[in-house]
Amino acid sequence: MSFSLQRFDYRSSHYHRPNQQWICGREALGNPCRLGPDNHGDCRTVAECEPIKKGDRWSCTRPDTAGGKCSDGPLPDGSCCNKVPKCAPQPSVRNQRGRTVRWAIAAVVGILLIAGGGSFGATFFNPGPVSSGHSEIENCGSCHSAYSGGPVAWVNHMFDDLTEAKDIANCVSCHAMKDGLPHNQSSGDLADLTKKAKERVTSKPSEPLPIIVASAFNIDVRESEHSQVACRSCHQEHQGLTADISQLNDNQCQSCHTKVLESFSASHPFGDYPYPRRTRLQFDHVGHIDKYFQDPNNVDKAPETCRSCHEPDDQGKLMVIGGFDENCSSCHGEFIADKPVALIVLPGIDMLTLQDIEAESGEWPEYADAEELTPFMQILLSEDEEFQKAWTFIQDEGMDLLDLEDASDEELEAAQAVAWSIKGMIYDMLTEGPDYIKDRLESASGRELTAEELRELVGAIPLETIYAVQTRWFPNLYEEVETHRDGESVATPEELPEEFEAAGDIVDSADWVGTGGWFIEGYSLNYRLTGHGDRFVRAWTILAANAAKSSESMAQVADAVISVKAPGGCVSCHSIDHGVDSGDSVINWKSYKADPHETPFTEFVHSKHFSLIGDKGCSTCHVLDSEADYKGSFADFDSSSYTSNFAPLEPATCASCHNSSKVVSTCTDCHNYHVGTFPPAAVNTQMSVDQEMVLK
Amino acid sequence: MTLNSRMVWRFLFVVVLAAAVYVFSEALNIRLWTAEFATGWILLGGMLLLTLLNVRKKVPFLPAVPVRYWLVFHLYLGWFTVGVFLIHIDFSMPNGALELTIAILFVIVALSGVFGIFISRSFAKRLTRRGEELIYERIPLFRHQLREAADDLCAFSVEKTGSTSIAEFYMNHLQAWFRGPRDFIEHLFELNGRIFQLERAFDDVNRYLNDDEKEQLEELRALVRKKYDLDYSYSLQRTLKYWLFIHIPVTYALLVLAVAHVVLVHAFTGAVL
Amino acid sequence: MDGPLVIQRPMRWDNPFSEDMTEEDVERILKIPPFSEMNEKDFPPSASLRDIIRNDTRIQRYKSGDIVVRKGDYGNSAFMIMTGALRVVISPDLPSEMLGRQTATRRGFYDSLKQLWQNAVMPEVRAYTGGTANIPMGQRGAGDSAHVFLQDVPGIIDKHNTVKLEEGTFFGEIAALGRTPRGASLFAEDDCELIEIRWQGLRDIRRRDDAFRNHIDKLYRERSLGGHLRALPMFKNLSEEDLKKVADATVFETHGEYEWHTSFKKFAELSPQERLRREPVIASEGDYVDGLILIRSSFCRVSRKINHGNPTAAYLGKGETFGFGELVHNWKNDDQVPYQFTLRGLGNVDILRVPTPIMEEIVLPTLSESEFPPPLTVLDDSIQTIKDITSNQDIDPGLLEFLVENRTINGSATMLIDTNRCVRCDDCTRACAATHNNNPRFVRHGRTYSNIMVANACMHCTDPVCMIGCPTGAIHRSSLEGQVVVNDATCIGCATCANSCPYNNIRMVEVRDANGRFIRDENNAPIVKSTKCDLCVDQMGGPSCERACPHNALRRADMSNLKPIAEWLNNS
Repeated sequence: MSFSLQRFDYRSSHYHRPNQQWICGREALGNPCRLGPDNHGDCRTVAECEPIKKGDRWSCTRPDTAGGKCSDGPLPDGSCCNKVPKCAPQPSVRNQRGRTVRWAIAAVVGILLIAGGGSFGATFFNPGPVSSGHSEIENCGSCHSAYSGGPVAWVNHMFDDLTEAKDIANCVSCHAMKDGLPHNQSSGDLADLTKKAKERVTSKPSEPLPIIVASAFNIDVRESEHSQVACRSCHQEHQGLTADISQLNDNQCQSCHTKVLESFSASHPFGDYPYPRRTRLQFDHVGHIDKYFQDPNNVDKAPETCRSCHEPDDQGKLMVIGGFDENCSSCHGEFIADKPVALIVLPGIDMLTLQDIEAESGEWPEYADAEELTPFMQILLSEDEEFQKAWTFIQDEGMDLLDLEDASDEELEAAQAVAWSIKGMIYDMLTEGPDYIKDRLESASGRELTAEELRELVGAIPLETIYAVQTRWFPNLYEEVETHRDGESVATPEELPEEFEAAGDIVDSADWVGTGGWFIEGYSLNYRLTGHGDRFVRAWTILAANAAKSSESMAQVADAVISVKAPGGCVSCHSIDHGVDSGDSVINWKSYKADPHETPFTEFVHSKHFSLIGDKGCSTCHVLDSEADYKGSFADFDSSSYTSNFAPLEPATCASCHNSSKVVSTCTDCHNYHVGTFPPAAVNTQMSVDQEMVLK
Repeated sequence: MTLNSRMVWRFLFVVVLAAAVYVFSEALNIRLWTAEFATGWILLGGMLLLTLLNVRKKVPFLPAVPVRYWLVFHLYLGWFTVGVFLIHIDFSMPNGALELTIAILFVIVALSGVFGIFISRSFAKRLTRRGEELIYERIPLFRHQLREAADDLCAFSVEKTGSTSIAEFYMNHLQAWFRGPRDFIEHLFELNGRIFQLERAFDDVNRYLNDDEKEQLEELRALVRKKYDLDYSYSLQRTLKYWLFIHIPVTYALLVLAVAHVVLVHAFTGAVL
Repeated sequence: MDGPLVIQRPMRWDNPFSEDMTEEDVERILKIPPFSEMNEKDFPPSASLRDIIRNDTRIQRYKSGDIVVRKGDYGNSAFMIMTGALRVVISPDLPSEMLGRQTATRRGFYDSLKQLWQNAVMPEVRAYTGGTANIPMGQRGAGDSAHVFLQDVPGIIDKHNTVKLEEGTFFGEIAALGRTPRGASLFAEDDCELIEIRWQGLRDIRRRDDAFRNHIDKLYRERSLGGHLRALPMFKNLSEEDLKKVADATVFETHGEYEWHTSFKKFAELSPQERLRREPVIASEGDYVDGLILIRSSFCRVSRKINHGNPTAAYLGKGETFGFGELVHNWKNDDQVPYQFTLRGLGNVDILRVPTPIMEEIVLPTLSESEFPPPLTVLDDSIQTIKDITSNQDIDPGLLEFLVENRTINGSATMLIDTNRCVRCDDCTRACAATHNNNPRFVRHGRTYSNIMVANACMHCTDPVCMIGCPTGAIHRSSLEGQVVVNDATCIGCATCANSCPYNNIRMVEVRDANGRFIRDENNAPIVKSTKCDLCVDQMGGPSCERACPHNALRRADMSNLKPIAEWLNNS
């Protein structure tokens, strides 16, 4: 037995009105009122009909649609007999849904208002905890310039982009990163770095899809004003306490480095890595390892491994070498001081002839025999016109001062002039002291000398030595020079000063200063180097290297000191670099040491790799190249033109480990974005004076 | 819910579109632009378009695109938006209070939407298969009528046959059950334990009845079956109506918060273009 | 839960046309021709002429200006002028508002949009300005003797092109018998009395009285038969005189009962077999093909006996033919086939029969190959499955039976809902309300076959029985696209239409003011109006219910063409 619940005829089923807001409360009971609730959801039905008075009788007005006239008819008072009890109208489904929506909106708007107004906004709007490094910063404003000013200002800031530059400044205020310039390089440097890089990368490997798309839509790299790159472009904060916000991925690098490498192993250019620059100390590995260390006489001195000389630095990055004393002296120590420097010498003059013709030259040792003057004397005499005239005359004539028998009067004049100038020089040294030398040096090198330089250059010459020179060579120097300078004639004496003979049997002064120092030998004042790092020669070398061009005399000094043959032969190991823009030259006294605050473009941590290399050891990567013209690189003063006597590294060598299957390598494994020297932010602490103490 | 090739193709199209957005956002990232701005605006636009369905429904008198096409558009745009959303949050839950709230709301909206599609397709068929086709708002009325019919039937049986068996049976097993909607969840999952239990109860009591009563019992049984189907229709139709009570309000909440979010990000990390 | 209801066999004259027909009236009528000329002997005692007059006629009195019939009305009675004179309006017809029609206009964009905020909050709100509804003509009387009258008759007469009808003129019989709209509007020139004979009377008189029958048939042949035939492709090649020959030879018959809708409601509870048995057989399978049958009004069921059932193969409506295939087959081939199917009348069917010889001699020779139907597949007894006979349409046979059984086939815009897709969101209902001043005009329930629900929304029938006997002509076909609409202004709430609609698609409502209080007449009784779906006649872009459905679950279907329906149903 089945039956149907609903009837479809218009009397039993009225229109169904889901669009109405309210439903009669008795709908569910099957006897809803005809009128229904008003639009505020209030029940307003009183009775089923409003009877009407016909003549003296009330009659029912209930329409057929509601069942027609009722049987009982209206009450005597004319009210309907079928009262309708009040009902509680129900909201329709749509009505309920509408309300829910309004509540939902009200709720969130409320939350936003409270958050925007109150203090808890900062926490609510905070898009996530900042990395632990920044976690001390609690005020959003210290990074986000837009923060101050509150919600209304934020809405404005939506449309101005000025805040970004300010925000960069906020970052830089703590991180000394020279603004947001790419790689912290001046745009100029950046340009030619880019040029170099482009030259190196030759292969054009297949690019990843995003890059193709980016260039298809030609999306340029985003710059904030003054071609800065906003810090947050790479360092995205609010990723959580533990997030590493300094991590860069290759894509970020390749946003600018559009010539893309497929992978390190596939196509990373190496150029002449790791030997782009001349080593500061000239050390011919080939010569040493292949020749000298093999020599039977040296076996006991030859190092056993590379590490006998090279040790990793504190960070394990760089391999540094110990000083001369540990590494070189065993062989080279003795040869440094074997050659003394002559400072003052007396040229030989044919005194017999002068005596015969009764010239007016004053005394001059008979057996002086030097043919050349020392660069030192050249400097001191550089101001003396007569000397210069005479000396150039002599040079030009090619005359021999030791043979004046048939010399012309002119020649005799010159010879005597030279004699007088040299005597004058010694006289001045003794009477005027260091200032005399200082003047000459300064005019020769064309610049003021610092007190320190002076100390190194001159102070090392003891007065006694000069005095000894005078008493031994020119006993009557003072009278002669003074009378000569007064313009009176000083005859050449019959008796020339005797050669100095020490009374008794004392050691030869050359032997005395075997470990370095001053000594007079015959008619030459000499200096013997104290050994490696001799300050006197060092000072002169530096002076000469920088002032070589400033004067004739200085050039001679330079020739004397800056040469392998020179006493000490510093430059045979210590290379000299002529600065590219600043004319002055740097003598590399020391090998390269890394500045802990410096971050270079490329870094290699040697220590990490030790455990990996096998029997070949260092030579796994550093392969000697016996053909390379290593020495040649040191002929000039240009550090960049260089041929290492190691073969440049083969990328393949690194790639044998650094490949997709073993060690996946990203750009930042070897390269740094921020390049330069960034000393850590130092704190200034005012030393406070205790006021109370002052008062007491 | 039967898949046909048309659906599959549309869905694939959406997937491709989302993938395109992903690649594009990557392209922006590579050039150091904030791709989240782009995806974010796409996302917001998508959500607004989705809400337009509601607007369209409010103006049925305009000869605009029929709602059935709007809905298809709505569904697939919905899937697309989910894709863009995942790209926007970079496939990981955000950790800011506001962002997290937004994300959660979005997930709720999306899930409720999927649920909606599912029941729209499946419940409709189930409703057709079983019971009478009824107007939801009228179900309480019919329930009321059935209850009264049952009550009357029992009263009638007592007075006609002078036996209270049916009346008692009704009291013990059915009266409460007739009072209101029952077995809501069971019906959703088509768990028909109840009807078997009741039928057995009927069979049990049957053996104590005489022919008149048996007849009345059958009538009662018919009422019970009607009521059971009525409840079925009720729970399915109610679900069909009330899932929107989550989908729509949350949507609006989501939109409000999303706007706030847009203001914040643009104020704090770079203006609108 | 009302059990099967018991039907008492309907008796003729249980309810006479008019209670207040007196003997005098009957006598009076019998004295006037043509009744005076009729021979009472021809009538059986069970239905004597006198009884017919008493029960099936009434005397209607009209005052000057009263509208008697309007062009386009569906009437079920004919008239004869006893006293006074009428005016018939030759086209152009009187302006529609003057006849109490709705002035048909479609909203513009803004007017449509306005509904968003201008719709009433309360249901069934009407903005009346007090007094009677403000319409350009008056109303007299009440119930079904209510008359609408025109002011200033002389004015109308000289403004419009009218012809005077004198006493004794008979009119309206074709419309009454043939179920066709009235051909012209008539109004009383001066106060006059008319005899109104309802269709039952006409039918009986026609059956008994040769003169009357010939009169009717003559009229029909002259007025409309030619047109009907011309409308058919197979006759279009005929010359005038050939067509005349055909027309003269054509027999026309009426099957089934006139007011089928009432009995349809009564028999709704009966078993399908019972109902089938009550459908008159017009031609039955296996019979000699005696002619081409052309359906002129209402519907026919085409079925074939298979085993013990008579599954429906198809249904035919107005203007469709039956037996053409067989005719052509027999004419071309030697093997002669009988009718392949049985043709049953649904409701009140008028058919024309063009006899076989005429067809073979005159019509078929004029046809080219292309105009012949596809070669007939002769069904022998080996055809034993329903599939074989319904194969031509891709719609479920069960559904077909359902549509025919419930006369859904009558609809030209039937609301079908696929409950497999419908999520019961009522968007359709709300869309309807939004387009009808916050009032739904249909109910989302109705008879259901498997997943197809025929909702209770006006189907805009091809045979709109609801229009029969609307006293004020408030319910009429719109001049826009022939939608059946109710003019709220002239509707007097008599519920005639609501009662006669066989599909429960018209609903009576009590109208309210803006605050939702009932509007009452002077007797304090609420004003009731008849309401129904108007297919959004005044809206842009057609029925909003269909457009509003989010799941493509709702269609307004024209039942004369099942193809689109099948397509819609089959693509999920």
